Amino acid sequence: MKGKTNLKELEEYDSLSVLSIIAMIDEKFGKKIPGQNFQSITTVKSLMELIGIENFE
Amino acid sequence: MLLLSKSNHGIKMSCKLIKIEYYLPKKKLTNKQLETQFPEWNAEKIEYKTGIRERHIVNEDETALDIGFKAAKKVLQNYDRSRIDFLLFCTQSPDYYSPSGSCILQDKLGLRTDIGAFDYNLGCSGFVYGLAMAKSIISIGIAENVLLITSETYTKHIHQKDKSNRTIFGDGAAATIIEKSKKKGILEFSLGTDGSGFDNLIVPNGGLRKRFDINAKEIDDGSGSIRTENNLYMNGPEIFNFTIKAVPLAVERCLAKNNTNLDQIDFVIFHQANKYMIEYLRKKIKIPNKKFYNNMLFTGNTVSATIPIALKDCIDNNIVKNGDKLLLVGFGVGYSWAATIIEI
Repeated sequence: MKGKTNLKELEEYDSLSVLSIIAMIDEKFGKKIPGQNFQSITTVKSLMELIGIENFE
Repeated sequence: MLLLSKSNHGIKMSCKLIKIEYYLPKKKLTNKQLETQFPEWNAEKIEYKTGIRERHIVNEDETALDIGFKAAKKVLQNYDRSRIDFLLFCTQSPDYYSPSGSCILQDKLGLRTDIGAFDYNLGCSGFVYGLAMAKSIISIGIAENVLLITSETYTKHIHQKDKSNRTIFGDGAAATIIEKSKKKGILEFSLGTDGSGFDNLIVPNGGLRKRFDINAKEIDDGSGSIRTENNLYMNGPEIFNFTIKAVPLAVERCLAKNNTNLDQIDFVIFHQANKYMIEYLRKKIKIPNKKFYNNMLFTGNTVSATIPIALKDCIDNNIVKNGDKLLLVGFGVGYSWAATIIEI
């Protein structure tokens, strides 16, 4: 999986994957991302931007 | 004041959960059937991800009142029904706007007519709320033996092409008897409400704000589920966000109110929402796996019936034993949540 990988095109990506991402962000970054923001997520990079790119530097 | 102390015989009355029975409709919806209708779904994958293999579904002519009645009939076997002096009926799928289902159930169950009865509309927090009301009713001396029926048929609200919700929800009913007792069996409560999320889990049409619309358009949510505004809508990510915020706090407050901590609790039963969600909450709150129930394999999410169904299964399978302290937490639609500790 690369920065450019489009999550929504992965076979495994479904409604429960969104829950896993929410859980991961809560656990690792202590952040809550509003549900509607997930509609704009496409690539791994866009997800990193949503979490805050400063967290990955 | 004088009258009150006389009716209480000077003792503050406590109560205890005596008996639980549940009823699941005969018809089942299996993962295999879902896979047939939604070929991109895989039966094993559904079970692995949601912890659900099958759910029970009411027939078209069967309602929450009907299955609640069947659960109540079971719990009243070998119990003198003339002792029941209050009936609480929790559902969000009533037969009528008016009258209350509880009145119909009083008659169908052959309960006394000099008893109290009312309906209340709550979802996943409904069972714990019912215990709170039963405790209040008993402790101020209004009644001594309360019959609590929590019954739900969300499948009636779900669109046939709504893959996600058809996978998660099942129908079911539970009936519980709570009696006055000297020993404290139902301890302190922590309740919560936040209506700001009311439209994240909702049946938009069919009430009086927005009437049922026979021409309602089909809406595709982009992930392969279709519904109309007449159907149940659930914003899964937002509901998950809500539970991550509310449930750990509810647990903390409930433990504090009871001057106890997780080490002193023998077993924890959460509303059985879905396997993934409650497992994440368990880890976040740091509840040991061996003290935690996560089983909706044969029922799915039955809303206000999940906690009593889980509790009954834990008692029958000796997962919990007499004298154990159990933490119960319900959370969901509203948003509404409730936690308490019971001693069985």
